[in-house]
Amino acid sequence: MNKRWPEIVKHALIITILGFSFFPLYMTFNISLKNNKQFAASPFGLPDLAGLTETFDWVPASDKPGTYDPKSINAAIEARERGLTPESKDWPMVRKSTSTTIHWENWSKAWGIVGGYIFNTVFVAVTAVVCALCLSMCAAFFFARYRIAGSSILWYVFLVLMLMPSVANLIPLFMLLRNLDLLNSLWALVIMGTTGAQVVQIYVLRNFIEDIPQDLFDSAEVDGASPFMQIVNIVLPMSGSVISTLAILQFIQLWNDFILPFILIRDDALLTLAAGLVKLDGEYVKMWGEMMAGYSIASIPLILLFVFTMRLFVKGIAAGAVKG
Amino acid sequence: MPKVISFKQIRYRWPVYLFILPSLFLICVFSYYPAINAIYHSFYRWNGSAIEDFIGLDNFRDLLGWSPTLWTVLAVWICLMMMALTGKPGWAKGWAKWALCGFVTLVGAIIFGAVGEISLSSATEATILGLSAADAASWITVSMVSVIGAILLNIVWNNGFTNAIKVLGVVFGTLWFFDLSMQNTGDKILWYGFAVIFLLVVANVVKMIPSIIAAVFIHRLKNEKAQYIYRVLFVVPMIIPAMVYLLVWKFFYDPNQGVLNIILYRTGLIDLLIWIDGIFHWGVFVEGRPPSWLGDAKLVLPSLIFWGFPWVGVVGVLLYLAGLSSISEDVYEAADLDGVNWFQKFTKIELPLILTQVRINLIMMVIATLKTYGQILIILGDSGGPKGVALVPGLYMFKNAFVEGYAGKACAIGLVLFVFILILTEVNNRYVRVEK
Repeated sequence: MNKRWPEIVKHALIITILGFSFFPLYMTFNISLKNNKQFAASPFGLPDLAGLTETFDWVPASDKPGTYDPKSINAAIEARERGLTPESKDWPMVRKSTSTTIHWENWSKAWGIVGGYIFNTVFVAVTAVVCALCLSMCAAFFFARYRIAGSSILWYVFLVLMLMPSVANLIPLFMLLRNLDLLNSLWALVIMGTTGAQVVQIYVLRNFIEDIPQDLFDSAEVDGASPFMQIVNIVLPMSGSVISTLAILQFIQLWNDFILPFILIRDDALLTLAAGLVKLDGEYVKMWGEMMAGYSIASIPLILLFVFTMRLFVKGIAAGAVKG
Repeated sequence: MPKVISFKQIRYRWPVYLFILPSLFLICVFSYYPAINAIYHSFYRWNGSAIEDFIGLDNFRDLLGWSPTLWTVLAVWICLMMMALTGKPGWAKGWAKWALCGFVTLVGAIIFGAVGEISLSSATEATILGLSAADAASWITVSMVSVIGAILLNIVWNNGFTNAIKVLGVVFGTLWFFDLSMQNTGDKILWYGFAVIFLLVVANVVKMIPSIIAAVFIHRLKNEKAQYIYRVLFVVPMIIPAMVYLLVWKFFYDPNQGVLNIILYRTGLIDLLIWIDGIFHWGVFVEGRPPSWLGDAKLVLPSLIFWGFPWVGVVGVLLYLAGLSSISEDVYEAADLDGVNWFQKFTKIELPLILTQVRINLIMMVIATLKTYGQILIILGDSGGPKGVALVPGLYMFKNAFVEGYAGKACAIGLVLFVFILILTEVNNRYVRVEK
């Protein structure tokens, strides 16, 4: 009995912290199902539990099957007797309680806004991840396998980039991309995503390839395998977990990146997700429900990625933090 | 062993260079070229396109000022910082280090003062090396005094100061530094930005504590299954995209419909705040006007600090847990036998083991805070909030480059930041990481 209390206290404290950190998630999901009136009347409860403070909305009367409100049906029948159609101006409106309605249409409207952004982001992220991994795999193989004139100097050329924060070079980069006519183009983001990931990926992959027994490469070379074939047939089959960890890390980074799209992309249809959300947030009349539905939709791909790759994810985050 | 290719073999083995060519091309064009271009243009008055005049070090002089006192304090401050962080000054022994400080200061003063003055070529008085005699005398005096003072300080420092007093010294030195920098001839906004960064760094140090507490509590749970579940649960809220998290918090702070104000009004906490305000006369929480967290100049910085409550970072928790998992049960049993209480267990067993991770996180956090501007840009716009209270150096750079068209000045700000970050990265690589 005496030993149980400390455990309970620990659980309680952890759950309290978790409760606070889950609160924003809960609110996002919760508000995404409400309209502004429901939100104002009952911000915290779920929509179908919020019957205490009823709110009303004016909707057209309806006698369609599935309408259970007798007032609405009667008003519709009466109006039809007067010779009106649902399209006409004088068609009666009835008060309808909204506090028990779940507004799933927020999600479909939000998808209409955010969907395009998501496709753009997926395109940029997937293309950049594939390009970056191909290039850095080749470069890492070069560094791990060969000692040739200039290879150590080239290695330092790459390594120095780790020290270089990308603060100062933002403006010249913008001018460069403008001169290359890459402004307002998703390819600029792909190129920058590919370039930005090179150093860390080459560093990690080089260490990985150096840990493979080098005799494997030597014997492959005797059998006449070109360096490229060595990569495909020896390195790739072994490197599943390290490649997927790198890919996930870069994917998350590109998913969250907003400074570059914010500066480079002017066209609304080409915005990536993070920059698109900022624009959505800047709109004057705020439909909180739709905005929160948009945020939820934006989170879903990463949550799915997390569910399927939980083990790699946890490992990758810790590794990425150490590597910086 | 890697395959060695000698000079003679290059003639027929040159295709291996093709493997590195695409990566090399990319980083040369998109990483090195902009960086070198930024250094180049920091010596120019440049608007991003047509206007491009060479002005020497004027950009830096305008930004940093050239008060010799300031540079002395800065040099001493950096040395103190290095000593406090590392505890082992390796690059110079004893008083030589402090003499070197003074020398660097002197050279710095000459470069920033004299060269800048010459390149301005608008000096009207009689000058030595482009400086008026009085100015020259003043900074030479200050430098001499600082060298002597530094030597004295070094003797006292190495004899019988406790760590707490050293830390206090560093803190007060920093405050003095910022106080001086505010009276400096340099760019007031930039120095204000550094002061804001300093405030945010201090706040972020405090915000590291919840992660440590959470990790220790999870680690101490007896039930391993519960440990695993909590670990996964802690990751989940951090999976949502950073931008979503940012915008949801921005919504929380909305004055009329934001969740924070709703909570304050529903629980009646607002009355408490109004009562406190009545005592201290902040003029922030007033009856009948909901506090506008991001719209009131006095509230912006507290709001930014409170941002992201309860401040549990997934990276931190996972790293600390990894560090803690190496403690064996025997240690705890021995501690129990010795009658060690729960808090002593933390300070004597757990904290020393995760200290490496804490230090890594600390340096990473400082570097990230120095660089930060994206979030503030999203939350408060490019003006840095009402009255520019949150105009951090990064954001000031962004504003100069993309709003006001002073691209050359912006490049110079970027370089100043770069130097700060480089020093910290160097401290990190040389002293913090190795001791695993």
